[in-house]
Amino acid sequence: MAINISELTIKKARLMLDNGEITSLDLCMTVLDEINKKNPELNAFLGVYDDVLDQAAASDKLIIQNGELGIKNPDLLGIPIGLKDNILVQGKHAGSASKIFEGYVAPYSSTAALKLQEQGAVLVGNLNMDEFAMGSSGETSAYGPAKNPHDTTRVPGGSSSGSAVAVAGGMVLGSFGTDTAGSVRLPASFCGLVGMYSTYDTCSRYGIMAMGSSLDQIGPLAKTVEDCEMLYSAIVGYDKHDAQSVPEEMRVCTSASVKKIGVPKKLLELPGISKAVIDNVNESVEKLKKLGYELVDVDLPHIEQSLSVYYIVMSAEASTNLACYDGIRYGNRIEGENLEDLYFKTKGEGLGEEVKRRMFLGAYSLSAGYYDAFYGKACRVRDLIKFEFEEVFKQVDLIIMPTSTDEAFKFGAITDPVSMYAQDIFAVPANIAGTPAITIPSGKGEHGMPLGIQFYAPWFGESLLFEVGKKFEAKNTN
Amino acid sequence: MISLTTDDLKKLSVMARVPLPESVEEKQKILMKFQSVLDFVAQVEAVDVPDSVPHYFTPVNIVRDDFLFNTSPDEITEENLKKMKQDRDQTREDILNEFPSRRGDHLVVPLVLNKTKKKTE
Repeated sequence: MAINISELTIKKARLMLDNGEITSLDLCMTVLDEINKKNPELNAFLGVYDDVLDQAAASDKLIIQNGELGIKNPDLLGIPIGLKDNILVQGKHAGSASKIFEGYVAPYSSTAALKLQEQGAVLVGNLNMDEFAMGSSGETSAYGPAKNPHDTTRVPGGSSSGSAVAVAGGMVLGSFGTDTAGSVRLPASFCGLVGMYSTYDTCSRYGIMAMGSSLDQIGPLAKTVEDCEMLYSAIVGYDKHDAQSVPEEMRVCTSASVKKIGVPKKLLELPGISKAVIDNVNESVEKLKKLGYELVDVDLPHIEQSLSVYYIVMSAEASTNLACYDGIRYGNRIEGENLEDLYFKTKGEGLGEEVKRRMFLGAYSLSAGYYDAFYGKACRVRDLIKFEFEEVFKQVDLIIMPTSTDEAFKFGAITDPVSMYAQDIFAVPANIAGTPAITIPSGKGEHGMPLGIQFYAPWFGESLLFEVGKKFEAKNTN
Repeated sequence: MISLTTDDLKKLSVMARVPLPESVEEKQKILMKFQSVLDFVAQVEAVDVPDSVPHYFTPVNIVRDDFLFNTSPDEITEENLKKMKQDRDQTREDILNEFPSRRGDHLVVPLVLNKTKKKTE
């Protein structure tokens, strides 16, 4: 039976596997064929694991065994999944798409990877990304950028560029990326996928190479909201290995269902937002009204400060987290005349331009004399932004806003770092406040590239995102 | 607005242990891009945050504050000193109790160095 990976959803594959129409081995052999055909151009996979077919065969045995016993199979049993290059799988290479990690083999597995393996998902390989997740376009990867399958002259978005391209390009059925400032949602939007950032530390960060520890979350990318939910459900949960993991009993949302949706209209007046995006938001609002939701204006006065706050907090945390990649503790060593020289040579040759810039910024904002003015003040403004979200979520159950300021742009079109950072303006507030957010395909831009619409929920309100997301998706495709 | 010089950049390079290129032009390019980033993020300085906003993310000391005995000499009593010592010992004991394995006042950790030597002994 011919399997079309580009069209196949996880949900449909689950049914076909359980009905015996296909096997995981069939599915994974097709996936490997597709990767061989497409990856030389799309550059989504940095590596394919050597035991994919063994994993698939093991999953098939379980499917047969479970079928005989009449047990409902776990959602991801036998489903081929890709992982961003900063998610550790024991015995496999992971390297955050950085030269400093060339040849590095993970000595242990991330909690997310372990959970996926326990549920029988087939882990296919490691996916391209912006180096150390620092980028919004996928262009900072040390191994060359992944390309948008809708138009290979355009960026796929970042930093989880390969995670989006692998799914949108029909190479795997679902993938995981990490989101520190929209790094799952922006590429999902640029590639016409669903992508999600869950409430901070509801999914374990253990075994994920850290960038901004107070912002990072692993997140799913999929073709549909239902697939996204299946991927998310497989990895969510308390983890004792993650010191900030939220205990289950504290995961209580203030809203039980969605009636009112807030529209931060002032945000759409910011400069640099394309007409197509504004039109798309207005059309989406109309669709939601037709679905019976009440749409009301809301104000988040300091939300646009999220980007400045983000670049201070993230760079401070990243410069601390990346300090250990010095050639002694981690990373490929370049020998020097003395220890200091070794550090300089190792980082000089191993790290890219954007990573170095952020390490400078981190050193600056944490330095004596600037700590209070920069890091301290950024934390206080972060308090204010979270407070404003709390106030708005007393009035509404969800907030709607675009995912990006425009459709995917051409490679090399943005060279100024500040303009590149501005791509994340609608995504980063979720990371700053720690609220969950989902992007869902909602239309096309001026050049026919996908656009996404974003929903923000109150803390622990992921089920609200899925509830509205499914209805919106159905309305959008009809 | 903060204006950076190449000397400032050199200092940051030392702090971050990240080298700068040799060429003056390259350094100037890095400086210009870094300056634009700095101007952008410096916007936070102008934001007024009311005191009524709760502290969710502002760093706070979660460990016991250190005692500072610089008050009047009559407060340095035997009783106060005894209480201070008790508090200190209790904090220390609480921390030690959190550790998976201890031997007396020492923490037991897995052997890392000289593993082979230890095995052959």
